[in-house]
Amino acid sequence: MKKLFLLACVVFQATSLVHAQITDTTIQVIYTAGQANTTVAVASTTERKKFFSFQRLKLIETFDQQFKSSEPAFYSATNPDSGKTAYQVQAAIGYTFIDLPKLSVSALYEWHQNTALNKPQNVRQYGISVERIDGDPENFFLSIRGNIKWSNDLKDDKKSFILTGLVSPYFKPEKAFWKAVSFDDTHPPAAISPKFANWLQYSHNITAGIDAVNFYDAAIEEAQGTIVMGHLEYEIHAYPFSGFLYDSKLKAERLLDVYYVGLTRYEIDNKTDDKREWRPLQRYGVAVTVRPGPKEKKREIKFAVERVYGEDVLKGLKDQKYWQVGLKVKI
Amino acid sequence: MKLSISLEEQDLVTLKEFLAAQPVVQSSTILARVASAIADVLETDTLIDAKVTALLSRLTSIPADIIKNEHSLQFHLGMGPKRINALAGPLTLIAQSIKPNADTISISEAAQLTTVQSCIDLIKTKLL
Repeated sequence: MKKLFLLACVVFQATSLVHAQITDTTIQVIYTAGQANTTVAVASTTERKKFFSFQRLKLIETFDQQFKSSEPAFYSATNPDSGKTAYQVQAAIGYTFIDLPKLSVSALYEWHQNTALNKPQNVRQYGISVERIDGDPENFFLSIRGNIKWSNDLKDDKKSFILTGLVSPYFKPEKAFWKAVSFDDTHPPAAISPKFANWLQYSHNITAGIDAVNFYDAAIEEAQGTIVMGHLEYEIHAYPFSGFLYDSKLKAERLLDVYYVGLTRYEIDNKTDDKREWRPLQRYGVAVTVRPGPKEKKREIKFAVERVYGEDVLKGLKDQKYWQVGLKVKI
Repeated sequence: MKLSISLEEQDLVTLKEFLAAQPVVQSSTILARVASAIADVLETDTLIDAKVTALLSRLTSIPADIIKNEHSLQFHLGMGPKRINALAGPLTLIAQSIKPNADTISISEAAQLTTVQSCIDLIKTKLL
């Protein structure tokens, strides 16, 4: 055990040295005089990049949906239609260990638990998420996300292997407001339409893909088998009073967010006893965002009120509807 | 004798203007080299500014003369989170066009960008 610890220390130190990198942007003028080889140089201070970088650490809601992959983790008290109140955690923590201009690979751990529902949810997952940006960012590109996860449903005593492949298209934005339909972008940009942006901005996005779940271990034998589903997801966000809030002391973008997210999965093949053609999951709500850190960092805390209805077979969420009020945290 | 001065960008501009106004700089080899080194740094900064502004203009279809360094990528230029992540590739190309062996910019680094100035600063860290 001691040898293992020493080996870990050596690896940690060696990796730290490999990652040594100049990061300080202060410009330093060094002026040396009084010697035969007088030099004048422009240099910069250096700072060793740590082995563990917070930039590569993500705390989000889930890696399974494109929209949720940029959304904060969710902790809340829940008040379902049945009346009882309890807690829920919808969180995914990931560390990007391959981080390139067009490719990132992250190890992930997800925790999805909701004790308040009529049909409670309690799932733990771990695996790998791969994100690739394909195409020309100046014209048209695709954001492609693939996940491989092992999932343990502690509520239903089911273990599964999950494969997900998702694609979102991104078109070049057009100058004219009426043509501004490009996905993901904030419409209209305040630089072009400041008056309109003062009152309202919006964004929307679309994602398509395939989800496959193989329940390889289940207490009930009939529950074992594979489900393959088509995945179609649309989200739209409105940011009221966007410009007024940005110009306020808060200096925050997308501070007030009124949103709708509709996800539907269509069964292509189902070898389990739980068969249905469509598996929709929809949510709408209002969120207020606060950024506690410096403006350059994208850490944020959201207070959200959200209505959820539908099911999520990838996370052991059974078909139901409920309100949730809670805090979302993203780092 | 060794003189070491640590300067921010704005101070560097002030120093350049100050040196340009001093007749003694012309007659001193060392001071002339200091002035020349400062000019080189500022020239690179101007080049990065221009390249980043041109890139963002192409990406967002917003005319370059409207884009300011303090503009927010999301609020002013209308870029969404995924489009900001996708900046990693084009910003790497800008860094490597100035210094061929410059480090690449990763998706995680690009995800932290919030303003035009933050894009410029990120490129500068890759040129050091």
